[in-house]
Amino acid sequence: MADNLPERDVNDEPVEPEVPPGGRGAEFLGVQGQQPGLMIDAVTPGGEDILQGGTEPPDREFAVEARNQWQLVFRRFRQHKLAVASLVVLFLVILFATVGPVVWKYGPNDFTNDFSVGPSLSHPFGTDSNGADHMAQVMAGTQLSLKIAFTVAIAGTFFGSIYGAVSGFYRGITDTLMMRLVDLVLTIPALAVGALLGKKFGNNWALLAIVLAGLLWTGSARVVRGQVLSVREKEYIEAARALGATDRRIIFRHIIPNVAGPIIVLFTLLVATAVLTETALSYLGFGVQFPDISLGSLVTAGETAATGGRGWLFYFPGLFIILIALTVNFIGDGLRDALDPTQTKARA
Amino acid sequence: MLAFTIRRLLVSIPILILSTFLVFLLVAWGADPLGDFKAKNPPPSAAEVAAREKALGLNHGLLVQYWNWVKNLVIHGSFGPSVQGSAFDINAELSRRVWVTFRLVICAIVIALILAVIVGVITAMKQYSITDYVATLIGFFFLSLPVFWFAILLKIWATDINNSLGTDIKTLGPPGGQWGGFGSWFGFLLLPTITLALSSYATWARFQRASMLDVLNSDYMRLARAKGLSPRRVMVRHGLRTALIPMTTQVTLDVAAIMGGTVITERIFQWQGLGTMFINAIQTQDTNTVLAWLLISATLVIVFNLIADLLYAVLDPRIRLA
Repeated sequence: MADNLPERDVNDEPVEPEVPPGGRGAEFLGVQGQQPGLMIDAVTPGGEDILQGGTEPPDREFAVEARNQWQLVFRRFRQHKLAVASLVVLFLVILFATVGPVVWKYGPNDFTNDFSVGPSLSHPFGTDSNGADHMAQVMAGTQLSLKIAFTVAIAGTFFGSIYGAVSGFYRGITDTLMMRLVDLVLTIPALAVGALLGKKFGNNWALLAIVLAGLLWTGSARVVRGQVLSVREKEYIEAARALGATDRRIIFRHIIPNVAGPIIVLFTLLVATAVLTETALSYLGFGVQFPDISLGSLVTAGETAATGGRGWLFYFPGLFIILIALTVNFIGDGLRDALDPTQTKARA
Repeated sequence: MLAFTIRRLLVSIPILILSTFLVFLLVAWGADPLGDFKAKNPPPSAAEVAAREKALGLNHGLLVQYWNWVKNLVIHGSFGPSVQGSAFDINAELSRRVWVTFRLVICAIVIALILAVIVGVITAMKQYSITDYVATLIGFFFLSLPVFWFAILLKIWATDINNSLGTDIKTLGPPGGQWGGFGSWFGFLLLPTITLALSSYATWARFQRASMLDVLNSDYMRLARAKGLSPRRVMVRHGLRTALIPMTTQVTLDVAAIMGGTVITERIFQWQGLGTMFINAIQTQDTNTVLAWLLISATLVIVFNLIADLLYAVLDPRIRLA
């Protein structure tokens, strides 16, 4: 039988054999040899950027200085039309949530005399039974949900990346212990513990964000560890060590910049996960607490309204959750392809 | 293989123990079972609070509490008293509800897995086709869908359809006995399972596609074709079988997320399963019930991990020596 896998697959992936191919989140990244997830190529067929990049052979592209590399990344990103469109939409959503409340004539807690009216010119998203303008509520909800999501993503990716980098860099017993801890955290459903702790900390959005980050950092840790395991064997690390660089310098100056691509992608994915987790918790009543408004708590309020024929109170908050999560996911997809030059090349 | 199984089984035990400890710490930190009682107006006297604490064993240090909890669990098989009144027996509630939830979880996993494998393989074989593109977009959409919102939407649609057909609410109608009518059983299961399966499906389909693509591009596939095997045999025997291996890991990684998902799904569809019990327990700060739920969930995850590792060893010849 020819069922034996070719050796190349093993060599491509200098990760220890007991590591499952692809930790949580890795399937989005296609960062490991086993899974070239070329989603974006559906939009921009592989090789296009090489054509646009001139007649230079692809290998030369990596020899140019750092500034040009980012230009290259930008150019590749631009070719992912869906990602660019998503970036525009997300920007508009952020404007809606930040500038909107300043400009819009109603606040989320202003009561008007229009009770439970549907979407109209004076109330684009309608009003609730108290006469509060629903668009103002959605603005406030979007703002808080975005704030929490970005805090979770920044804190979670930051901690997870450093954790993973340290674990992968030192290998051996340190690595084993650190990764066992990750396995341990993964045995606990984030949503359940989030509900438990959210009930306690939900009245403070920053604490809630930290709690969520504490539950969602494991994905970054696993992926970054895998990347570091591969990067640390490269010649330039050996060169740095030969020149007498300290471990700290090697990790922060040489390893982290070289795994920056996956980290940026992980960040965007974590934003989407965080939005979905936070709104779910807030929906259950264990996330953001009254008087703060989250998109999730708006869905709770809209749930009964929708069955009573006032669907706008239910559809708009949900629509904005989808808008945020979807655009962020598309942007992450575009970034993944833009940041990983090997992804656009078809395998032989 | 037997030695590997035993060794792997033994490794699971410390993980389970550590997991219970972590869970215990989190619960002790996150919940106060006497919070409601202390917040009463007029406030209860210190002696009353102390008496309650003693009854629940909260007067000991944290480590002693943990030890007592484990001892009680191992020796008596009991999850301890509940603050939801003496009529609320945690063990009885658990055994009544556990099957309800597991049925949901297993159905969701099976459905999501079958769909994901089919879609993943098709999109990989037709890479860059319109099918691939559309399936990818749909996958992205499901990935970005807030499950709770979508579940409510499904519920609204289903009620509308039932109303417009002039029938009673079918999916929420009276059960014809747990096993009596398969139709009603299926009806109950339909929407919650779809809800729970969708988000996992999106991830798994992408993973399956990537893993299938990897296999399709490998040398042994070319060899299999070159030596004249039929395309079907190449795909199924050489391609699909190998491409399924990484899925075992992916599925087990998501079991915890699915258990978390049941909390939402059961709440929306009014299922009297473990998820609803968990929500009630958090609302009443019933730490022992929360602990019981988390323990069951962690055990499920660890068991799935164990199964995946064993499957992996059976399926992947490279692992067998390890």
